[in-house]
Order: sequence, then C-alpha cells, then structure tokens
Amino acid sequence: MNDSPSSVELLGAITSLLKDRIAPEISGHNAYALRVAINSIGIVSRELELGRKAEADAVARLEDILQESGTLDELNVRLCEKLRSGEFTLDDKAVFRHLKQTTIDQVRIDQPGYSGLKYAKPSD
Amino acid sequence: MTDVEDIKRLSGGASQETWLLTVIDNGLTEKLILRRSPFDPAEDRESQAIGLHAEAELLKALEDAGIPIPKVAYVPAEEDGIGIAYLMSHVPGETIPQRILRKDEFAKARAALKSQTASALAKLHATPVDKIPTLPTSNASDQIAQYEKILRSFNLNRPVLELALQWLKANCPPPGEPALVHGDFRMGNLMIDHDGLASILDWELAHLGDPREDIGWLCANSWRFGSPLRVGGFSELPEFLDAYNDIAGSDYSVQDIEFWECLSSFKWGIMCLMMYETFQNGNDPSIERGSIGRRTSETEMDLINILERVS
Repeated sequence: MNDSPSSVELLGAITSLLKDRIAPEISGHNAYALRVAINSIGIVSRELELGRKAEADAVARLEDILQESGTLDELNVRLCEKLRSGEFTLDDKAVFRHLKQTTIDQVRIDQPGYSGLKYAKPSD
Repeated sequence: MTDVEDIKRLSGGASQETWLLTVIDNGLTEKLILRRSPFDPAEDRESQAIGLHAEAELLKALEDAGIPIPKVAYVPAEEDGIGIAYLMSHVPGETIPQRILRKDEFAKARAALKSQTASALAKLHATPVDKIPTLPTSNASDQIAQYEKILRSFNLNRPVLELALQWLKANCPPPGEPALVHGDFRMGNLMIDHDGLASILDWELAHLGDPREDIGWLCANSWRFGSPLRVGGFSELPEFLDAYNDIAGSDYSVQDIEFWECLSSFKWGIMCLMMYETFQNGNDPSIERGSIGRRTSETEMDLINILERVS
C-alpha cells in the first residue's frame, strides 16, 4: 500500500489547512461547524492510529472473560446478554476492568481531552 | 402604536427557536425574548417536553415563588399567526458554561452560585403542586423504563450502558411525595450575571418527581466543562447539600445523589445516541449533529467513574 504520505499524515495536513488557513476566513455558525469538523477529523486520525490495537485487546479480554471466541460485535452481544440476565454484575472485577479499559481506549480516540478520562482511577 | 425592531435569532434547533427583539409601545422601549416552536412537541410521543404554552403557564404560576425566572410578557393567540410561542422579559447575562466557569469577570458569581442555586432549587421543589398547572409525573423508575425502551430500539450493544442500566434498576429509590422538578437544571440553562444566578431558563422538561433528580442532573460531569467541582462546576457536593438541606428541611446525603448522577449520565448518553439517530436516518445530516454520537463514550467514562466509586 502506498503510504507516503500515510492516511494519518494526510488528515494532519487537511487539519492544518482547515485550522490555519480556512478558519480565519469564516465566521458565525459555519465557524462552529468547521471546529466540529476539525475535531471529527481528529477522531478518524486517532482511530486509524489506535483503533486496531484497542479492538484486538478488547477481543482478547472478552474471549478470556466469556471463554468463547468471536468478533468484537459477537462477543459484545454475549457480554450484554450476561449483564442483562444478571449473570455478570458490578461485582465481577474482571468484567469491570475490561469495561473500564475499553471505555478509556474509546475516549482516547473520541475526545482525549475529556475531563472524565483524568478522573478515571488508575487500574491496579 | 406598537413596533418591533432589532429582531435577532439567539439560538434554536429543529424544535425550539429563541429570538431577541425590541418592542416600542407608545414611546416605551422594551427588550423581550420570543420563545417559539415550529411544531407542538406535545404531539411528538417520544418527547417529554410540556410545550411552550404549558411552560408559560408554569412561569406565571411561579411569579411569586421567590425564584429568579423570566417574566411572561405575552402569550400570542392563534390569530396572531406566529405559532406556539410566548414573549418574556429579557434578562441580561451569560449562559455559556465555559465562560462562566473560567473567566475572571465571573469569579464573584461563581462564589455566589452555591447558595443561590441551592436556595432556588429548594424553593422550586417546595412549590405547592396545587398552585401550578397539571404536569406529567416522572419518577426514577419511569425514567429508567423510558430510556431503556429507547436504548433497546437502537439495537446497539453498549455494555457500559447495559451495566449502568442494571445497576440503576437494582438501586432505584422508591417514589416520594411528588414535587415540582425543573428537569433540565444545568449550566447552559442558567442565566448568570456578575452577581450570580439571574434567571432559570428552559422549563420545558418540568414535571412532578423527585427533587434529587435536579441535583443529580446539575452534577453530571458533562456540564462541568473540566471543572473538578461536582455541582455544576462551581461547588463541592457536601457544601451544596448543606445549603440546600438548610432551606428545604431535607436530609439528602452525598450517597443519595450517586443514583441520580448515574441516571443523569445514563440519560445523556442515550440522548447523544438519539441525536446520532437523527443524523443516521438523514433528518439532520450535518457533521455537528452526527459527531454528537461520539460523545456517548464520554458519558460511559463518567458512568464507569461513578460505578467504581459506589462499588
């Protein structure tokens, strides 16, 4: 695959264009929409960088917890069923650790500056 | 002879418009706010909003309650031809939370907000329900059921929301004596001037329920914009509850609020998914709308932090 520049580098250059050259030219609601768009490009870029590992880690943890294999979607369906039936509760430490790590990984992609990420207690 | 000048749109989405205008009536000039909805939310079964006419009736009933609220100036009749709307007094100030919580010019206001919001909430919760128009009743269990139904309709697998839902069901408090609840009491809906709380806005989600709902909603991390102070970003919770309990004669504890803060983040997470749905189905294909779906993970982070605290 041709990766010079890589997808992340291309998105970085687009972000610079929008931020440094386009944003100063516009105002009002479009300026707000542009900030949202720039933020969304950041999400895509971070997902390209971090998403694959986060997903592989989540699948490995889920297979361990559920003692079965499958895609992330399939495993999440099973996890939701077991939470809904009460087979897993807040008292299941391995389940909670998994959910916490999965959420931290997702917020690092979606909104790495979010205050809730800072409040998350370091895992033991 | 009455004239209207300087009409300016302040905000508005699909269901709600807010306009600032100047009315000149027999030489007297007055700035007023027009609240208008293009359609009647009471006809939307998914919506919990009471509609602008009911909101205006409620504000009129609360005029002497000692709570800072806008004064209703005029409710247009059908023949006025501007739809469902009302005019209210313009209260100057700031609603943007990031400015209120960070700017030096609001330092005095921030210091005053704890006792002002505690007092306003205690008074509004104490409103005799026979003195206000009929409102829907919505207790904790009603809201859990309502939002579970919406979550199921998405057919998504969000295990953190599922865990939170099951914990909420297991820890749902029984309904108490029904009280007037504002329903959307948070930064963004509070008009703040340099002395603090100037006006409580947006009463469309008012209902009868549990007063702790308003306190828990105000505590949701989503409205604190990075401030570590748990109540609205301006006060620690124990001090706020001391001020509230003093006036209300209640004995709410920090422990009591955990359930309601958890319910708040759960509801807001599902509301983010509802906004994503209007993007997905093409009703609002804008990036502004679509990207809100990615805020759901923020509420899941908040839920994880709350659930870890209570476990």
